[in-house]
Amino acid sequence: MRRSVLSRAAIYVFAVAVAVTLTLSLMARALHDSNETRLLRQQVSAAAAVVSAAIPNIQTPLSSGAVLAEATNSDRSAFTKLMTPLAAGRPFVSASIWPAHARDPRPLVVVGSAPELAGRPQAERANFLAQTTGKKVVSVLDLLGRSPRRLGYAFAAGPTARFVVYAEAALPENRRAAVDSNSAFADLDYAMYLGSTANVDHLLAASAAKPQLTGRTAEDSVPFGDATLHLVMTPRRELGGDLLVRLPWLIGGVGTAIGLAAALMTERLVRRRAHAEELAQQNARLFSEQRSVAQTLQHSLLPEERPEFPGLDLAVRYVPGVDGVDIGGDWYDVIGVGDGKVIIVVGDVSGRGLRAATAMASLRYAIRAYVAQGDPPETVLLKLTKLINVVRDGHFATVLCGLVDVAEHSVLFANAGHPNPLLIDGANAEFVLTKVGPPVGVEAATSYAAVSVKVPASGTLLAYTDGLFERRGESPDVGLARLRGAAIGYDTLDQLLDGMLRALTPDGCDDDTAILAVKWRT
Amino acid sequence: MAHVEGDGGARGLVERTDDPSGVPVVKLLGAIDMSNAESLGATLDQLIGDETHHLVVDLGALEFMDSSGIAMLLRVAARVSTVEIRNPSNIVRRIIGCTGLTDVLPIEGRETGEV
Repeated sequence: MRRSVLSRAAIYVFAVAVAVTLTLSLMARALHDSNETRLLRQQVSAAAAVVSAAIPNIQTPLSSGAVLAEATNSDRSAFTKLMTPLAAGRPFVSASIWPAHARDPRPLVVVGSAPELAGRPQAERANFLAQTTGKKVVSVLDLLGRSPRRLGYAFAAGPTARFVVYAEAALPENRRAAVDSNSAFADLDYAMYLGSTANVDHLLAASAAKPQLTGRTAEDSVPFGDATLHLVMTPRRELGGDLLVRLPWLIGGVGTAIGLAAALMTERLVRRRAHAEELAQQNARLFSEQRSVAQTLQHSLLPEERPEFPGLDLAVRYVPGVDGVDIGGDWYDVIGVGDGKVIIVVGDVSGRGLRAATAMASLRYAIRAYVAQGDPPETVLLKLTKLINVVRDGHFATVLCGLVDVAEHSVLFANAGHPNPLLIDGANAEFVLTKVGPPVGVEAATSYAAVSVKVPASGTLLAYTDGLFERRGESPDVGLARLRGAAIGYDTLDQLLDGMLRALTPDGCDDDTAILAVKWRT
Repeated sequence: MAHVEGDGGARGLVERTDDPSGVPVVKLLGAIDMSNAESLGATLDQLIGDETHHLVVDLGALEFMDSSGIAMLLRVAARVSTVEIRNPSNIVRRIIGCTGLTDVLPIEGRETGEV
C-alpha cells in the first residue's frame, strides 16, 4: 500500500485553499490600494481648493493699493495708511509702489522692509513690472532661489496703469510648515511647489524634512495668480482606517488556517478510507479462507464421491450454500451390509456451523455402527434419538434411511421428519409415501415405522435435503412440485443430478444441499 | 415485548399476550432464522418462566422461520408439557406436517396426529 506523509488529495485541497486565499488577499489589497488612492486624490483636491481660496487674501489688498496709487498719484501717506497693517509680517513683509513703465524702475513708496525686487537686475525689474499692467491677476515673482526666501506679488490697476503695487511675503524657515494636528489634512504630508511640476528649487513649503515624497502620492495643480501652484501629498498613515490595511493579511491568515484544516480533514478521510479498504481486503481474504476451510472439512466428513456396489448405479452430490462460510449439517451415506443389501442415508441437521457439522458426523458414524450391528432402518432412527437432543444441543436432525435389497428390487424406508424420496420411472416421477416420524432429537420416546417400496427395473430413487427445493416464503408443496417436474428426461444419474441442480438452483443453493440417486443396473 | 436483533439483519420479535381464560400466549413476529433464533428463544424462556405447563404460540404475524426457528419451538415444547400452535401460515403448517412434528407442535383446535 502507498504510504506518504500527506496524500495527494490533501495536498491538492491545501493548494486550492492557498490559491483561493491568495486571490482573495490580492483582491483585498487591490481594493485597499484603490480606496487609498481615491481618498488621497480627494484630500489633494480639497487641499488645492483651500490653497486657491487664499489667493484673494493676496490679490484684494494689492488691487486696493493699485487703485489708490492711481487715484492719488502714488500718495505716500494714503498708501502707508492702507498698507501698514498688511506689511507687518502677515500676509506681507514689504509693500511698495513702483512705476509701471520705467527704464530703471525704483520704488516710489515703501512700507515695511525694503523690497528684494530693488536688488534685482535692471532688466528683470523693468520686464516684471511692465508685464503686470496687462493682467487681471496678481503676477508672481519667484525669489525662491535666493536668500532670504521671499515671494513677490505685483498688481496694476488696468492696462493703462501708471503704477504697480508690489508686495513681498516671507516663506517659512527651512521651507517647513507643519500641518495642524487637528486640520482635515493632519494625516497627510505635503509639498507645495511654485510652477506646474515638483521641482525642488521652487519648493514653497513642505510638512516633512525631505520634500521628495515617496510611496503613494497624489498631485494637483491650481492657478496662483499668473503662476501655478503644484501640490504633492502622501498619506502619513492609512486614510481608510487600519482594517483595510490588515484585511489582506487577515484573509491570508484565516484562509491558510482553513486550508490547512481542510487538508488535514481530507488527509484523515483518505487514511480512513485506505484503512477501510485494507480491512475489506482482509475480510475478503479471511472469508475465502474460512469458506475453503469449511468446504474442505465438509467434504472430509462425507464419504467418497462415487460409492460402488454390485448391481447398483449410485451418484451423490454435495453443494455448499451460497455464502458457504459455515459448514452445513447436510449429509449422505451409502453403507454396504453384505448379502446384496445396501443402506442409503440422507440427513440434515438443523442449523449450521461447527456444532451442526459435529452433530452430523456423530449421527453419520452412529448410523454406520448401528447398521454394522444389523439394525433395520426404523431401529437405527430410534437409536439416533438418544444421541441428539434439541433442548441440550440446540439441534435436531431429519434423516431418511433406506435398506436397499438389490435382488428384490425393493427398498425399506424409515423416515424421521425428512422430505419423501422421489421415484422416477421414464416420464413419471412420484414421491414415495413413507411414514414420516418426528425428526431425531425432538422426543426421546417415539417409534418409527418402515415402509417397503418396490422399485421397477428402470426406476431411479432420488433422496435429497430441503436445500434442493425450499425457497423462502414459499410452501414446501410448491418447491416439491417444481422438484418433481425437474426430474424427468435424463439418461444417466450424473446427468440427472447435475441437470436438477442447474434447473432448481440456477444461482447456487441458499442452503447447503445433499443429493443421492440410486438405480438398478440393467 | 422484546426485540431481538440478528447479525444478518433479520429481526424477530416475541410478545406475550395472554388469553382471557388465563392461558399464556406468546406471539412471534418478523423473521426467525439462525441469526436470531437463539436469543429469541432465551427471551421467550424469560417471558413464560418456569411454572408454565400450557402455552399457546401464535405464529399469525410471523413472516419467515427456518429450521433454527423450528428448533427453538421444539426446545420450548420440550420444556412446557403442552404447546399449541395458533394461526400458522400454510407454509409453517406444511413444514410441521412434512417433518413429522404434528404431535410435537400440535396446531390449536386440531386432533393430534392429523397431517
